[in-house]
Amino acid sequence: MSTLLKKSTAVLCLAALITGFSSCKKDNKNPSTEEPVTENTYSLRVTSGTPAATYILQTGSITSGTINTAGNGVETKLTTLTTKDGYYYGFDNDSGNLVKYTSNNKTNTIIKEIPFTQISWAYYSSFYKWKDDKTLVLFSSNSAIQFEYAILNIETMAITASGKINVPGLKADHYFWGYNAAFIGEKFYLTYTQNRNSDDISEGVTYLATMDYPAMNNITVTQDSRFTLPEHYTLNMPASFTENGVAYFLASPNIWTSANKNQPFGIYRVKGGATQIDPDYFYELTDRNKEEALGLFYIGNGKAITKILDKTQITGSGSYGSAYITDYYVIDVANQTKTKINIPKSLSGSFSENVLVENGIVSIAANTVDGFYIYQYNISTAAVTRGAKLEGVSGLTRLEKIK
Amino acid sequence: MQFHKILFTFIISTFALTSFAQSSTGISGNVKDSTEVISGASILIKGTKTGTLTNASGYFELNDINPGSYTIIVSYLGYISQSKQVSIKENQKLSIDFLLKKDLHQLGIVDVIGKTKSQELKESGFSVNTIDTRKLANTTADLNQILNRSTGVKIREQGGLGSDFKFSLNGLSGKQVRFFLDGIPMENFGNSLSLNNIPVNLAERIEIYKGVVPVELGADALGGAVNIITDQHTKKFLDASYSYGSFNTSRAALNGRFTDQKTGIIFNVSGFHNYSDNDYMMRNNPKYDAPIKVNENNQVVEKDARRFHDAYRSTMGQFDAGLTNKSWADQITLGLVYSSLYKEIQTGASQNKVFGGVNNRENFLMPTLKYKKTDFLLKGLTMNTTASLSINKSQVTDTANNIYGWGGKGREDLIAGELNGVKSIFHYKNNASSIRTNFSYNIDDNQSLNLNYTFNHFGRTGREELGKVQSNTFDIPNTISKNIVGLAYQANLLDNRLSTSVFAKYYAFSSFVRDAVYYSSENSWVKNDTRSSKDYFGYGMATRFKLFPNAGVKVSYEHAYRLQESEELFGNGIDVSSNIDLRPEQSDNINAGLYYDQIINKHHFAVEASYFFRNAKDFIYFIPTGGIYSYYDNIGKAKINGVEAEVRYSYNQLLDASVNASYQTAKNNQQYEPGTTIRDQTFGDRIPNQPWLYGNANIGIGKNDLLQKGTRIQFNWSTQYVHWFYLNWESRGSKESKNKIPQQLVHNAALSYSFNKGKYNISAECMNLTDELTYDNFRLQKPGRSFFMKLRYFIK
Repeated sequence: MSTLLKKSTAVLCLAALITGFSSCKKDNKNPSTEEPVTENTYSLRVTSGTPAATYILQTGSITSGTINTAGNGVETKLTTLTTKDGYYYGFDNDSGNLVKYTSNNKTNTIIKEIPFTQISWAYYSSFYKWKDDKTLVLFSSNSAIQFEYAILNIETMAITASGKINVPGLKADHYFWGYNAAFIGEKFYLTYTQNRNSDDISEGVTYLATMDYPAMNNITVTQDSRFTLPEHYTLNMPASFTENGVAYFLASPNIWTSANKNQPFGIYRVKGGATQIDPDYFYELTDRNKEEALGLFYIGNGKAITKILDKTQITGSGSYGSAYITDYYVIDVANQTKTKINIPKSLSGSFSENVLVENGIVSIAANTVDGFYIYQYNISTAAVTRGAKLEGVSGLTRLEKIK
Repeated sequence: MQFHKILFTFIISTFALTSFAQSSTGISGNVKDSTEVISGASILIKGTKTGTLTNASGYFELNDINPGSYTIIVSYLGYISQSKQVSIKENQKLSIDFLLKKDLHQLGIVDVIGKTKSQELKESGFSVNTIDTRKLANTTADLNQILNRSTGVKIREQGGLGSDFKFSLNGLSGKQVRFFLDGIPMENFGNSLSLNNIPVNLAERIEIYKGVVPVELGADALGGAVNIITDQHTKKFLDASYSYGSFNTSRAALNGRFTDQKTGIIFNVSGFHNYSDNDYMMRNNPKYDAPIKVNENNQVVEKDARRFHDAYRSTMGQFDAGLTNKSWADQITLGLVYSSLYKEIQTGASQNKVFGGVNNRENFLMPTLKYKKTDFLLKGLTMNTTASLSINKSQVTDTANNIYGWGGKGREDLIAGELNGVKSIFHYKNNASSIRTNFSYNIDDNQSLNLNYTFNHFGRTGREELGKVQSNTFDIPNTISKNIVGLAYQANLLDNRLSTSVFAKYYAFSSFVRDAVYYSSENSWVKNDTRSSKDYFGYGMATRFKLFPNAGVKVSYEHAYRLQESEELFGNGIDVSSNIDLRPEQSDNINAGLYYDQIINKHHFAVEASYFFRNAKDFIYFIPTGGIYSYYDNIGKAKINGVEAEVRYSYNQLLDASVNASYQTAKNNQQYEPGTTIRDQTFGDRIPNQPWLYGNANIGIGKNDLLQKGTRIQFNWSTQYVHWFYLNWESRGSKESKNKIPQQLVHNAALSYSFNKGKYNISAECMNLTDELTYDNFRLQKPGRSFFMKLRYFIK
């Protein structure tokens, strides 16, 4: 059960990954004196220095110019889970309280902070899904052995329902791992695997738990042994999307999160109304011994962008941060094809939400040997241009449009 | 053996030459007190300006004296002056010894023995602070609080009595500074016997070596070393004290020795017991972004809250028995130390991460053997050996069934622990053995050699009681062994005006780690038992030149290492993978300083000032990847420049005052992001989250025999200042959003009354008089104003 022991450090690790070692912020507690929405429209959550501190930068343009942390951006200890309509939703790292806030390159302003003790939230074992524009559903696996949920109304900032999700079938001396989930209509589809406590190796099976929303009951579980490890840490980077009532998910037994070997990196899917993973579909994305695939950023029309890493250059966890091993590919889940985007190989930014889609343009923040740039990929022409340069930035964990 | 012969011939020749040179009329002799030699004592021929000081061995010489009758006056601070009539003839070489007696009026105020050693250290080439803790014996302080007032030292505590702390010395901190108790390394002691709980009464003095560490301490100390010295020479004494104060804090300490002069049998006993509820008020302080968040009716309310799970107890007992003054041993003692600790944990790394059930228990047992012999095998060769074995058992219990906040007990959670993902009870057992053998050899009055060998072996086993951990990598001991050999040569030249020591240190270590995790491209992550051995070579020098008998300049240098520890190299097999390429932390340390000491009538004025430089690299940092395995890597570099100074003044027994200040600029010297060719944008920035300007002022006023003969009333005031500093990089982020650790200006006052010549003492003390909100660390508030009373009985 080494992984459960690991958890404590993992919490710290991932919290640090997301927020920086010792970051902090000044919160303005008086929302009435601050404009809730800034005039800038893009937000970048970045780290700088070693040990790293975390900053929220905002900018009006990501297609040109430079974005710099020198004297600019908010040093922050609030995490960001997600953003919507000008607001950030996340946690106060210390107290674990849920916060809704804005940011303006100078300070963060907390709009509402509420206690969040209904479920056991932890970065290594939690994830979220938007049910609709007003409803954010937060999930935890409480130490990887008991799934839990809490439904947040983002307008009132109130938890309207919470409880346990009693997914049956956890084997003795195993724990749940690899959570990749989707809503299709009023059903919630949760895919996962089970890892052995003794060595953290997945048993080579992927499960699908289907349940009713919002009651989170009427649960059926089926299994599929063609692949294992739905992508983990989906809290920080999407690894699924839903199109036309079909949910597509990435299986990613990457070295970063798993001790598995010789398992496929690929796309599997669940059709709305089904209770099992589509047995006729699996799109293996890479040569499993030479490449890893991470992240699934939906760009429309059955397409998504994924990061493909040169596995032969990985020599340990450190490689993810210091080796230029990442390429970006457009994958077509229907035709099962993939096309490399013409961006130089970059540092992995493994679990960063660094791909943003708007109006047919995909912006990708990539730290290449030429520097840290936000590249623009035109979906219709496949042309790539190099946009804004990031200066004084060691890493980027989120790139998002605020307004 | 060949070396031995050459050395011996060399020594014989040196002695012969020295004797040949000594042929004129003169007076020589030794000055000592009842137990040891006094260096720096003043020798004066009455009515003349002819005089000298005793050297480090307490020896003096007055040459080229005209025949006649004289009165020789010998004096030294803290002793009753003594004079002797002598008559000397042409070409006569007169030898005369002096035995000084202590000035009993100073008992309990100034420790004279410590003073002699302090003086000696101050006039060595090393950059060293010595603190005479005896004069603080009536205060309720622990060693941390005393060290924190010394130049170049900053101790950052997380809370009240027994809280975790980080010690920093001239900009280097944590494991980079090594601690010793009478020369025994404290790194294996655990938490039950530590700077944060050893009461002041147990130590006689503390030596703080900055950047350059003498070979005798035999340690891989990157930034310096602290040696706590207990009273080793007073033949019979008893010091017992008890204090009680705020937050239900009580401290008892006992220290004593009995020596039977006839048989040479010696017994030492010491012990302490500390307890505190540490239930001080946590103040809501939004101004410094340090709010206290309390959940009330499902809302977050910011308000003050009292700590409720922070009780602390530590207990220690030590007993030594041995023999002194035997032909085969100056002193041999066998001892046993036992200590235990119970500590509740109130918060995580921030004050709003609140725990209500986690606690830590430790038990520590250490037998020791000490042996000392002068003229061991050879005249002039002193052997000093200390051997110890220790076992430290610790238990971390994380089984609370509820979630806690400042509002108290919250909802039930039967799965998660507060510290760990699941509830757990971890048991660890650390076994350590340590041998230190030191040979010092006086080649002649002006040259000496010192050879030091230190062996440390450390093993750690562990288990989880609730059966949550199945892959236990501590089922058999994970071990680390260090062999450190140091050789120093010291020469005093130019009639002792120039004293220089050069030294070399050889470090070798080997380690064994169970189930170390490696990445293999064929097999993903693999686990293997792993061994490794590495060695390194360090060197340095320390020199002092006396400009005048009471003033000198000092320069010292060391190329220092802090060796890798086994977890840093190999991880823990659970969530930290190995990094066999890891190098030791290393630093080039330079100190340059001057001292000046002037006594005019009853005024004593002293100044010390120094500049320090550290060029440190290969800092070993924990790299939290967020993935399945994290690891340690060499990623930090810093260049530190600093100055520090202390001025002291005292007038007779009435007044003593001191002011010191330390300033440093520690700059990030990491040019590129780790493992890449990307420029680190914080290169040249001040290292964040580190105090860089601080100072202390102390004033004491006392009067002897005011109310009655044999009494003393003493009032002490101390003020500590720490300038505010940034939590993160100064050049990054908006000014408005940057968090600061606020300035601290804390005042303490103490009043004590001693009677019956220091036998009975009663004192009252107020810490943090103005109830300042103080933080050594971001969002970790320390206690507010507190009061203590102390009763002390002292006899010798």
